[in-house]
Amino acid sequence: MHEFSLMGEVLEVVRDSAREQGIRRVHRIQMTVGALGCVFPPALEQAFGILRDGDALFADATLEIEERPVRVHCNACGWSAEGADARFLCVECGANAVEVMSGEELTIDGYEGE
Amino acid sequence: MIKVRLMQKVMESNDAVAAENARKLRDAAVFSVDMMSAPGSGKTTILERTLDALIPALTIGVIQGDVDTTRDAERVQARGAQTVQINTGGACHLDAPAVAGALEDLDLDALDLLVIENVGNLICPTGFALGAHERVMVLSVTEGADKPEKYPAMFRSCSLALVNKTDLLPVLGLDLEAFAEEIARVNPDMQILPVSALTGEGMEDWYQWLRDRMAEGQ
Ligand SMILES: Nc1nc2c(ncn2[C@@H]2O[C@H](COP(=O)(O)OP(=O)(O)O)[C@@H](O)[C@H]2O)c(=O)[nH]1
Ligand SMILES: [Mg+2]
Ligand SMILES: [Zn+2]
Repeated sequence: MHEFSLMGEVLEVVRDSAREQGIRRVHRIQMTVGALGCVFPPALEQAFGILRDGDALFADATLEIEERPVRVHCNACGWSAEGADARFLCVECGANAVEVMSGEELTIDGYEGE
Repeated sequence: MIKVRLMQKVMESNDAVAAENARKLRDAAVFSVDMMSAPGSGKTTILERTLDALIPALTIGVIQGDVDTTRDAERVQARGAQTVQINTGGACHLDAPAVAGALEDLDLDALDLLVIENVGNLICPTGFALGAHERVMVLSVTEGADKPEKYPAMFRSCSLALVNKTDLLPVLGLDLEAFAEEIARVNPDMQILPVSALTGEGMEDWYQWLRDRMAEGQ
């Protein structure tokens, strides 16, 4: 459950930024989480629910997670695939030239508040 | 209503501390390895044998992150390594600030090599850079050859796989080829060294890998 420490970090980043912006109530937080990132979105949501409890800044906040599938592209032959079809050795030409185009994201995109 | 765009990596503050750890280690000319695996795959046993083989030619430090007891730390300390135990309090991974604290307790200038035994877990430690030069994965043959495909991110984050407990291959009716193929499918760049920490078979190749990487760093 490393999602707890990750969520704690997210809330600290937003808290620092909100202080700078003079924001007293955060309404929504947006994140992007890639499927290769070892982060389980439901566990993040659960951690969010627990960590914001009793915290005025986040009392009305919702968490929006945009999930990104793994997308790969072979730089040798141009083969590409997504999600369950993604492989890290090219299934067309066998080359060790597969690049991960997406799936490794783990970002705090932004938030809204007043 | 104010919209604030951050586009910030969640790992940013951990990564910054990891970079600082890496700088400290580089300045002190200490080569460092972050060892990852599932629980029980043989990290501590490999470490014990490694210490027996390389001490006193090398001065070695060990940071023990493997959960709640000090048993592993005692095992390696008994072999002459400078040892620091990180009490993770049941946490599922080490992070860079915890390692930064442990580095304070080590005499880095005296060390040639630092091994960090991460928490036995194939998921949680993956995203947490510690600042070590290399990440090494220990996969024991008893875990089965399907682990790379099930935990691709961890395998992709490591440069070397020590495939351990090869002494048990005959009992299991498995061959190494199956492991090598499965690893190559998720991380074709990964180097693979079959070892048995029990019999010592293959261990010399691992010591040589360490010596080579240390020499490259000089
Ligand atoms: N048969 C066999 N057993 C091993 C080998 N390496 C470790 N073990 C055993 O595996 C168990 C777990 O080892 P340990 O080093 O504590 O694993 P760790 O949790 O990764 O640190 C112990 O009972 C070891 O004796 C090996 O190469 N062959
Ligand atoms: Mg251990
Ligand atoms: Zn191809």
